[in-house]
Amino acid sequence: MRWAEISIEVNCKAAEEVASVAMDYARGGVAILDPGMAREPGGEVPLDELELAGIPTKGPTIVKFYVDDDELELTNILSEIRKRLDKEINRLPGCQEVLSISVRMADEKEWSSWKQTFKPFRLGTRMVVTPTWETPDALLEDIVIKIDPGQAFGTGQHATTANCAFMLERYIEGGERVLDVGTGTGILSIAAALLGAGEVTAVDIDSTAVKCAKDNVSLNGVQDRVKVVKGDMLKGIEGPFDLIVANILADPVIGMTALAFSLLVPGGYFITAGYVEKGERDVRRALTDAGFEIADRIQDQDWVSLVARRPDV
Amino acid sequence: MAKKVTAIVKLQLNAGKATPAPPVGPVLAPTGINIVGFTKDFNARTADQVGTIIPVVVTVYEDRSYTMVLKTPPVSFLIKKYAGIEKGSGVPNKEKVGTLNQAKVKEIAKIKMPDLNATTIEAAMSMVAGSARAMGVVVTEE
Repeated sequence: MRWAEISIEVNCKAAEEVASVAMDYARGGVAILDPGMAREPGGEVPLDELELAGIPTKGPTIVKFYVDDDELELTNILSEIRKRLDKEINRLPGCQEVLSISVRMADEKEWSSWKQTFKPFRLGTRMVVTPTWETPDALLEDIVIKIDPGQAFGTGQHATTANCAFMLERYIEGGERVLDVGTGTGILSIAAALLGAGEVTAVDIDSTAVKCAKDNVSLNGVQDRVKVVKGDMLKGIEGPFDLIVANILADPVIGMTALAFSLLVPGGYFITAGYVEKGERDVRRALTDAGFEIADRIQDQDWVSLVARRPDV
Repeated sequence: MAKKVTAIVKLQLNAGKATPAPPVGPVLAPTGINIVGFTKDFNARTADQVGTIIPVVVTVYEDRSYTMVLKTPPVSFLIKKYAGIEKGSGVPNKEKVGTLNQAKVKEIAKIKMPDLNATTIEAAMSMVAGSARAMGVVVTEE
């Protein structure tokens, strides 16, 4: 996929104003590259304590943003932005200079380079995750999970995924029916299947994630036990399950507690993650309000994972 | 010895909804940080502010670790929101596009206080009022 990258060079303190004009057209947001941030006394970074490794501390600020790669639309956007900058920005004190605007076509491949930083690593105590292009250094008894991350969430490097994987190790004994909500790359579903779960349902609302998860499930040869479906959280999902794992965010977890309770068998577990310590109280309350008892908790940095249990009848 | 800083980037993103798509991917990829991890971090920390734009300053170190500092929403965003308008005026001195009363200016000033170079709420209010006028938003006296 291609995008048009628009860079506006700003020679005054008007970066915020320019960014706010850009925001009206940008996809996803804008970036402000301001060398001044590095030399600002008492600014974003206490520079007396840090050394800068060759980053510029002088020069113009650049406001950068992205729009669809559509020639007609791009021409319209550029002419509108030029007009607005002339009227709204160049009038500001100290901003008499003409702002330069440049456009470049950017391809998605350019920023997939982060893949190079994805190396094999240990997940939980018994699993090793490896990108498809690496050969891991694993022990014979280790469970190896192969992941091709693409553009979906969850390479397993994040604390929340690691917390969930740890809990899966702890609560999967063999043969369980597992539901993985917001599966992303499918990593937790694959982990569950390889740890011995009987059947796993992986759900994600994002079609990119669904495709990515399906590919990874096949890559690990667990397609007979893992079913990947596109769906909105627990809507339309039919139980019962012995274990549900939701590694998303606080609000969606809170919103699904009652439904999760009804989908679980008595004695079943609900592993929740994706929130920081400040969100824990609300999640805890929602879980207990829904009838769960809190069975387990793990924290890594400020990322929390709570395990809730549906009480026996 | 302190870790070396290799990049400082400021992004303005929709709270709770960042993805590896532009601008996050292309701007942060050259820094070598885990982009998916970053979006997850950002989304979890801004989940309670969905619907607003949150500036975030990302400082990247030579070992590819990073810190993020969340800021208050841009003042122009807050002015548009409180005045109920989509865009500022192209000719702010002639064409007025909305109004803000003192109570609303005060609310915006309160939100922005931590990031403004102002010691009193009155000083912050006068900064907000100045920004509003520059966008063609009338600030009323009551």
